[in-house]
Amino acid sequence: MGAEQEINSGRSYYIDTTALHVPRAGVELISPLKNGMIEDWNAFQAIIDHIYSKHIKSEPSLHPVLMSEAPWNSRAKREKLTELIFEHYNIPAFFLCKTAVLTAFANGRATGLVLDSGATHTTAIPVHDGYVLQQGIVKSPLAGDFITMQCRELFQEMNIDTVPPYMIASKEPVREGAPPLWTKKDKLPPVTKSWHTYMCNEVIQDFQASVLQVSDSPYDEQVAAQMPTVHYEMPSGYSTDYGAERLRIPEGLFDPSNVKGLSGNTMLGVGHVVTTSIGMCDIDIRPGLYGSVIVTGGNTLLQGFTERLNRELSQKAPPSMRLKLIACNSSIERRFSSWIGGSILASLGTFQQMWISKQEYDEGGKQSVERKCP
Amino acid sequence: MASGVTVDDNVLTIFNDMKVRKANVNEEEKSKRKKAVLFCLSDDKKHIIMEEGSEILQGDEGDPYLKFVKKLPPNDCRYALYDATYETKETKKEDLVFIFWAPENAPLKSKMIYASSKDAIKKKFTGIKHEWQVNGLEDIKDRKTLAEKLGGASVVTLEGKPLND
Repeated sequence: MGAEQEINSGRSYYIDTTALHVPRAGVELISPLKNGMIEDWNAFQAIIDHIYSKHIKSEPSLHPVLMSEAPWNSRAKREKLTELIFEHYNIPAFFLCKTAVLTAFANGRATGLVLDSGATHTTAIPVHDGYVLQQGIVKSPLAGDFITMQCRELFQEMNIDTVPPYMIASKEPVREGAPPLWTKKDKLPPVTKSWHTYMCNEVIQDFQASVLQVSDSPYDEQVAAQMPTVHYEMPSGYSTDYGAERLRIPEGLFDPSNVKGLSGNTMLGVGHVVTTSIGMCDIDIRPGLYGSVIVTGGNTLLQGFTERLNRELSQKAPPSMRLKLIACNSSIERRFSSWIGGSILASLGTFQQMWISKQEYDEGGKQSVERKCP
Repeated sequence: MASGVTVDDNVLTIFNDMKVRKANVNEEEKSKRKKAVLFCLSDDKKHIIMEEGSEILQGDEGDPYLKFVKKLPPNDCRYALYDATYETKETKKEDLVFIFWAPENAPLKSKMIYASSKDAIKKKFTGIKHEWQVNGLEDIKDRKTLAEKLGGASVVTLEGKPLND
């Protein structure tokens, strides 16, 4: 997912990391996806156009395309995507794979519980013999963006300004805890709130990845106070040590009951997301799911995440159940396992007969996707 | 979701031979029947074939399960058919188990191909009752897991050896 921008009049898009970071007046930051599915089709098309012209640098009609999709993607959206691919881009062959299935396969498993915790969602998706069990999918909004929001509140409470680098012309070193000394760049264009917020969030996300840690047992204030502190310096030059907050913030992922601002007790912690999902599947396949819990997604790279999850599951799972968590050590594999799996699949000699060809689309229509890409 | 990899006819023949059991009572013939066999991908990665030299026969000496585990490559994936002999308190039984072996050390490409082709080979093995997805040496060495799959808590011996050793 790449965020991009548009000017409200005349709709111009600025796409990709480099273009994204240039401050421009009146440019909003948007994402074409909502809830893991394509919502803004114009923006999505702009991204695809950009990819072909700037990265692939070749005609769309020359190369088959394999795309991954959210396991809960709607039939209407799948068909609309298929139509766009064949009618607008004239792509010669197309295939749509569910991310959870690709991830499971890439981990050497045809059956397992895929726990995907990214920016917007934490989801448990049961996969059995290469097929997603739709009735067992459990989603929670407590993921990376939720943690970013919690960090934002922390900084507000501590009166720390998360000044993003684009505003800073120069800064001076200051003593720890002292107010930062930086000069603002002059002639900055009037950027939109959405863009500025995104730039601040990037600062917070770096803090999130470097400083936070998940407690290996349920959060305890006294234990947290004993934890070693971690030093972190903001782009503005402000630096300080962080202690108990390191553990308190990510605790919300596993135990949302004490989090301010969450309505009632409706949110599920990560452990419960997994056990609820497995509980919604046939009792005979549950051992197979507990025996292969595949952890994926950038948010799971938080220090201590997998250890805590292991602990939670061993407590919550039925007593005699063999539990095994699979979590790639490589951060690239953890974040992009579905892409890696898809790239291998698409390059297999045998897979070439599995695509929906342009001819099949012409004969069978967009409904071909339901039949050929289950 | 499948990879398009096809299953060699030979594989199906082997399966059918292993499935048919009581028909040959002759000891000599029985000892020639396969106890365990491994299947792998052909060199061009387009077919599933029997792995040369991977068979263990019923008549072979020594603990067949240990020998079978030794045949599994530590760094690559395989499919296997294992003819397990086990006893419960009431009866002695034999059952075929389909095993999907994908160790953590195997290359990602291998895991991906074997996992996405598993459906193709499993579909050919009609009537098989037990399937086991194993991903590490400690898991497959544990006979209790296999025993539980075969008959649950009531299994007392596997390949003539009591489980609580």
